[in-house]
Amino acid sequence: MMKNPIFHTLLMFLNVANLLAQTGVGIYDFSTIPQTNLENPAYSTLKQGHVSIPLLGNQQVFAGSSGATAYDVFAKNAIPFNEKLQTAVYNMNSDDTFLMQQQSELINIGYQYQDYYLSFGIYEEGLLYSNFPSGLSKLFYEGTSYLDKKYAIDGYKTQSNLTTVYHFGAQKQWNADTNVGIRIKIYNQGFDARVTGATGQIFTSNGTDNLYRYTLEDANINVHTSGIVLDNYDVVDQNYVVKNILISGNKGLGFDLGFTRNYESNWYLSSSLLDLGFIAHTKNAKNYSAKGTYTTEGIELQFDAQNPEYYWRKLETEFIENVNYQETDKAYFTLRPIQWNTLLMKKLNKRRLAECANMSNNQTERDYRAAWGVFSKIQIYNKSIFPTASVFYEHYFGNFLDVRASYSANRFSYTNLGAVASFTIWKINLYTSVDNILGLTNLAKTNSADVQFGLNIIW
Amino acid sequence: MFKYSFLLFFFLVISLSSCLKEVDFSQTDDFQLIQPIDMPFVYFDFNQTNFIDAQNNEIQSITDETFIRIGSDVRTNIRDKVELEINTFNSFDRDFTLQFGFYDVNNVFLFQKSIVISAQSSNTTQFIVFEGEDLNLFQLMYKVETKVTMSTGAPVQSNVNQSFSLKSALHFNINYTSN
Repeated sequence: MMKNPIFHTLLMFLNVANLLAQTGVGIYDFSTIPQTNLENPAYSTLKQGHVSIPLLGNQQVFAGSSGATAYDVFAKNAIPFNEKLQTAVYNMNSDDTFLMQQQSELINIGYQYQDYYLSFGIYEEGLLYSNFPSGLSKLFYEGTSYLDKKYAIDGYKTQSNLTTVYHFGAQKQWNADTNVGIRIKIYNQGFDARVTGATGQIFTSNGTDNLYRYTLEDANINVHTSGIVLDNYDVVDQNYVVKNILISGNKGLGFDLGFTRNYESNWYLSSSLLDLGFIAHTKNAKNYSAKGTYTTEGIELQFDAQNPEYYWRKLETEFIENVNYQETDKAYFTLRPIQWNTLLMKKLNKRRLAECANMSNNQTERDYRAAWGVFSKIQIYNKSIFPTASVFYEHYFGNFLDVRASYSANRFSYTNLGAVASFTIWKINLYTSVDNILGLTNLAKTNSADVQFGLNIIW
Repeated sequence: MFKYSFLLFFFLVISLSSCLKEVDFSQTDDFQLIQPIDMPFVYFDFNQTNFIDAQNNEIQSITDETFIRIGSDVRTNIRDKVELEINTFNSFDRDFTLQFGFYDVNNVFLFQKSIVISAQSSNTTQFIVFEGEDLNLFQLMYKVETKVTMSTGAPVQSNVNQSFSLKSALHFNINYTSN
């Protein structure tokens, strides 16, 4: 019996409930959580220093699918599994997307040095993005039995990579009301695989010289891979993989930029631009491309004993020539997935602080007890845009517990209620952030979910 | 501060105990998909000159061969049977015998199938079905030898237009399962 990669692709789209993205405002500009600096390098936690607990500093997983849910396919009911799967496949289209992000912080250290809050850290992140290969999935079901039905591969995009990020950040109070921040990132990418600009269509029709004709029409497919090579299993072992992911992968450089500003009317505005950077794929780079149209009606026998023809080789050669198939080892560059965050907040229950009326690096307590605001985030993956909008309310219970509740809407969900709690006892900060709370009661029925937590020492 | 501990507990419980209900992922074990395939096979189009050699002698039979590289994962999962559909047009006054010989990857002869195309027959369709032991052998097929033999009869004349053409296709279903 046969396993098929397309079947596993279908399951990837449907089995997202086991996974988790930061779909809403999350921990952005919130509380004393050191990792907020990774969302906005200008944000001040009003602390003098921090150290994350290794491997517990910040752990985040996100997954979202704008198509069917796991429940649609795996529900325990009388409907046969194959029927549910086929219904889900036919209800999805190429606009449906799947996105999974995972981030694991290895270490994060920060310290107030003169006018600067300096921080350094290492985290590993994984990304898997794809839109649904609707046409190819239907071809998988229908085979070549529907004459003249065109199965589009238009717009198919996917990318997957695993990257370790070494970062160094500096945050400074520009003036009494404004903070600015910058973070420099060195990327080490263990592997990268992406399909860009796939267009074309496949169909079967009645032939002229033979009974049927297969056509690949106006194909334009580009595939790029780099990093860990799996075709030599003598070389690929655990050490090889870890070394590539941590140190010896493809290198890149990037920046995060941010600012925060307080206004006298208790309004607060901040914005950050993350991952303005690139990766140079120079190690083990492979590029595959095909562009053109190819038709075949099978093998035309010549019965020429004097000049025997190698028909199958001829078919392969004709295919390669007609679609201009090429393989190269040329290095390529990719931009990092850019993220643009903006937050506007109204402070409530303002309190008068003894040290300073405005935010400053000498200030050790927040000057308000509650706030509400709006937040927007725009992420770009492989030329696809993922916008998110949130409204939120946050409350500070003394110096011990800070909570934030939010509502967010994005292309995966319009009913996304989120919550964040940051709890500080002595110098221990523990925080947890959940999105799509309603969905978490039964992940199977949700299109996206996000869980994030971390443990830090702050002072 | 401990009065707030329940809130922390609440968030931790929500984030760590999110669960999957009313679903059964083991249903993937039941996955099955039957994919129908109609695949163009060999074809040719002859006229009378193909059966006359340079010395104007009649050629009784001609032979050609080709590799057929169907992926092993596909061929081993063909379900039930394979049908070879053969559509012919014969304006000759002679019958033709069409013989397909099948060979494995080591060029070892597996089996052969034959059909007869009657003289003066147009747009005739015949099927060769591979099932049972024939299907098992077909799944080992790597090379096809096609032999066209003309029956005896009135001489073929180079200045009298006659044609014999063949179109063919393979029809089969591929059985995909999760196992």
